[in-house]
Amino acid sequence: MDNPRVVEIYKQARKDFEEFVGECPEDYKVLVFIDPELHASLYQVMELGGSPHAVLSQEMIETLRKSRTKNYLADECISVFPSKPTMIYMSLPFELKDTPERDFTLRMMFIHAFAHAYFADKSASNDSYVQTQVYRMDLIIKELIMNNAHGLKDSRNITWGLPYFQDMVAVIRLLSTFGVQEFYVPPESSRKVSLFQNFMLEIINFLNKRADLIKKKNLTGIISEAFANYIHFSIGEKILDKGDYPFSSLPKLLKPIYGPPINRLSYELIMKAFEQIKDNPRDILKAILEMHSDLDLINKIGAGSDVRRIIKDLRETTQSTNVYWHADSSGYWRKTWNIYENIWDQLDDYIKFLNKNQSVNVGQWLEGSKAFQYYGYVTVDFKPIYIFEIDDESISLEQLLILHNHSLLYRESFIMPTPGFPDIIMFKKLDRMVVGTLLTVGALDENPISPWDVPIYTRAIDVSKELLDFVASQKTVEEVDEETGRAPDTLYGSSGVKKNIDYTHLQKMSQSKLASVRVLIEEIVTKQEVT
Amino acid sequence: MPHRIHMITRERFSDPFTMWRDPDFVFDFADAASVLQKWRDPRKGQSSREALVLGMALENAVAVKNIQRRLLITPLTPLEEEDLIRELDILEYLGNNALPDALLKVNMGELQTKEEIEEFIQKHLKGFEGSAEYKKQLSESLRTLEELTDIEITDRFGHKMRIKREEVMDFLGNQLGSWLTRQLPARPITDTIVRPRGKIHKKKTFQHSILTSQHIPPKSIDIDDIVVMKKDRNAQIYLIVDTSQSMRNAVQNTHFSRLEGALLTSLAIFYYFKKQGRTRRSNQKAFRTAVVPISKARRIVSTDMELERFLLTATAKGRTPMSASIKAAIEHARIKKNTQDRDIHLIIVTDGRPNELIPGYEPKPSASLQNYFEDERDDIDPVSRNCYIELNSLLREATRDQSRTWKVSYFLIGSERMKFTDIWQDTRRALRGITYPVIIDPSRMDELAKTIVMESMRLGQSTSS
Repeated sequence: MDNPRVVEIYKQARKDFEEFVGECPEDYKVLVFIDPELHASLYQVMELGGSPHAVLSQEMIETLRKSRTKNYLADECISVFPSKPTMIYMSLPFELKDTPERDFTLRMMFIHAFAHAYFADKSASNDSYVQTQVYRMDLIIKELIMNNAHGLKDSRNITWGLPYFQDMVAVIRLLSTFGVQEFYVPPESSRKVSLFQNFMLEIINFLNKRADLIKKKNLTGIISEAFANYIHFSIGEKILDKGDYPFSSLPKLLKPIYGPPINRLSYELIMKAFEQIKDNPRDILKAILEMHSDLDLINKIGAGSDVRRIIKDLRETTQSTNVYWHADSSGYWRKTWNIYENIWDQLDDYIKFLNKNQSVNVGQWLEGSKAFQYYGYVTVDFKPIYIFEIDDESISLEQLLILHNHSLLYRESFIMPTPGFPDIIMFKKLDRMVVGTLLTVGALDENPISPWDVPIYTRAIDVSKELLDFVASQKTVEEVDEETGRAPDTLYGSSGVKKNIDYTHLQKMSQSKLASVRVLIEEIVTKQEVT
Repeated sequence: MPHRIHMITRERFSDPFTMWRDPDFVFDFADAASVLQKWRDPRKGQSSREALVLGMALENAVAVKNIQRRLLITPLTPLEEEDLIRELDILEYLGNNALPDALLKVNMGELQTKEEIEEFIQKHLKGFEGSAEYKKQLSESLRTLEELTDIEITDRFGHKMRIKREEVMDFLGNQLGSWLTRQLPARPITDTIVRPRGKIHKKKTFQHSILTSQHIPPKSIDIDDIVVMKKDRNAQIYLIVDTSQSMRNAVQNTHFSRLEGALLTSLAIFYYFKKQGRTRRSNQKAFRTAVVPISKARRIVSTDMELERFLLTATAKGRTPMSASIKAAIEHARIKKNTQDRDIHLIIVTDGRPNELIPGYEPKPSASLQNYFEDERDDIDPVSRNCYIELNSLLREATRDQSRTWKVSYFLIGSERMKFTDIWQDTRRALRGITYPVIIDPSRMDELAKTIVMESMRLGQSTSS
């Protein structure tokens, strides 16, 4: 490297780590970002897709870009991906001058990262193993997409291949992760027909496998953080005590690994759990490495209620101490603290959830969580319309649409078999608004040129009392009109055909949602064919 | 070994539709009708408006999440932090208050255009303490409004094109207007006669040909031939369009209704004269067009904005209060005439009988019409009769004006067979001495605009010569 100082600090950090833990991790890669922006976007890819190789949809990339230009993205100073080898990405603090603060910060971050790498290597949980598999699968999916998109462009001059595949894979990945298995899989015999069909067959199976794999992953968010935080907290304390540096408090650059509630909490949890062997750090580390999931740590401390008491206490004390990481010149702390409160709430919910459901892995967590809720289906003329609620920002209507465009239409003729995604009504919470959306496909005369060329039918309504009242009053007005007015014309009016609607397969849901479903179903019943 | 960096870039695959975005996009009346239908379909528009608000909300939600994370993780200077928190406040307010309300209003059909949505959100945020900087941020958030859904059309050669929703009227108007212009070349074409001794260039125009040798068919029509377009005069044209229930009837062999045909015709004429006016060397607008729907709510549609609104919202319903609309147009025209010295041309398009009276109006019809109804048509429905009497009285009064600059054209939508019916008889008698009604076959609806302009020329010709 052209900066020997970094290498020096790196070696120093390894030495610190070895002293404390006894040995160093070997299976890792460090990537240092000269441009922190790149780091940020990479981090975002991880966030949205679950792996650095994840295939993102066009819409996600668009949002990514927008938030980057607006400078809203966090400068993720350090990110660690616990696969084998562990990937460590760092961006800070190269833009700063050589100062003791910078040196110390860098040293601590290296130690933090080594701890993660060590944990990934030695932990009894299957976390890193599954991650590695998932990353590998994502890489394969990406290659598959690229090859097929290239093939389509080459052989048939279809230019929409890549964005289409991207969106489709992103959506199926998300939905299959949440356990939606309602995809139409084209028959095995269609494999030979074209590259496209072959790809479809492959990708759906593959994504289902990926979803199954992810579900087996143990929940280790807290213990891995705890492990790393325990190590760097302890080492950091020692170094500062020694007085090697001209300061005794932590530099503010260390905010990413000291500031967020999870770091503080996980450290406290370890201290609480291993009170008896407090003076023997190596035993503590050994004990953590033997744990399989977060649940083990909770059980070790006692029960969920004990952990939640720790959270409550910490929450109160950190309100006054965490301001250290922030600029409090003009009384903004009160507002910033709200964000912390939010995170604390999430942690509290997580612990509560684990304790209540005794979940060990992601699959169990997804089953009980509210991220995805299935409400059954309504049939209109024996064609089901599935109803569910999804609480995730990474899925957007446009993607669902694109995917959906190729659903029922082609089931009969297999012109372009794609995952048959049924007509759906989806509830989604955005900030404080709950939206009900309807996605259906209209009838089609000719073969479309591209997936975007398919007649689609969408509605989005605000699930609120005002709207439902409004719709109800509209209806009464219309009824009055029909009595006095003349028969509606074929072109304009559409009260037309009575369709057979069956609500019996619906599961229990809130009154307002049920009413919204009725409004949206009404939409299908009376809809005009859109050309 | 260094790690490979995977660049995240957006692959640029061109949209196959945008390639055909050229001005010579060829389409005909039926295409125009389908565009108009798509544009007018309130539900289709609504879903795109809904998707728009939803898209904004989604983006907003992501931004909020990012800012929160940035505040937690990134070491910031006090100034940066303050800025971020202020932005967060705005975005949270947008997401929690403004956008849900906007969606609700869109659901209820109260916000119909991009401007309305924008204005609504702006207004909503006024309650929120604002500054200049804040407005800047807001305008950025509102940027997404630009992406209001397009309408897709295919031309005769299969070329596809997308039009922005707000550009529909302009697009349709320009296409129809130029299409009409192509059908009626307004520029004099010099006719060249080759003789042994040389070439003779003869400027033959409609007027010229009629004045000199009646039987010589004109090569083309000069702009001067059209009386309503006399160079030194400014014209005011009123297109009085029937919007009663019967206009809902579909036009044979097509997929649009009479109303849509009439609306497109109004648009075509509106833009035709707009175009004609533009070619003249005068600061003053030579032609002003106004559309007067025959409906209960009497109104004169005279600006682009109003016309757009009218095209978007016009529905065929109710009865035919024709005389009331004509009266409104005449009153409007009188003011125009007195203040701006304009020639007035009333063009009436209908598909049946008028059937609603003006309350409190005392008609002074011609004696011959009264005789006609008494002697020959004593079995007619008294309301219809009185309507015709009102019509006659109103138009007679207008055309008998001293200035002799009032012209009336009357178009009846129906097949040739209509000439044998009572409607035709009654209409013709009611208009005797005013104008001669013209029958337009509904299947030739696409020619309506052309016919109207041609007939207007002919009419202008016969009355002025």
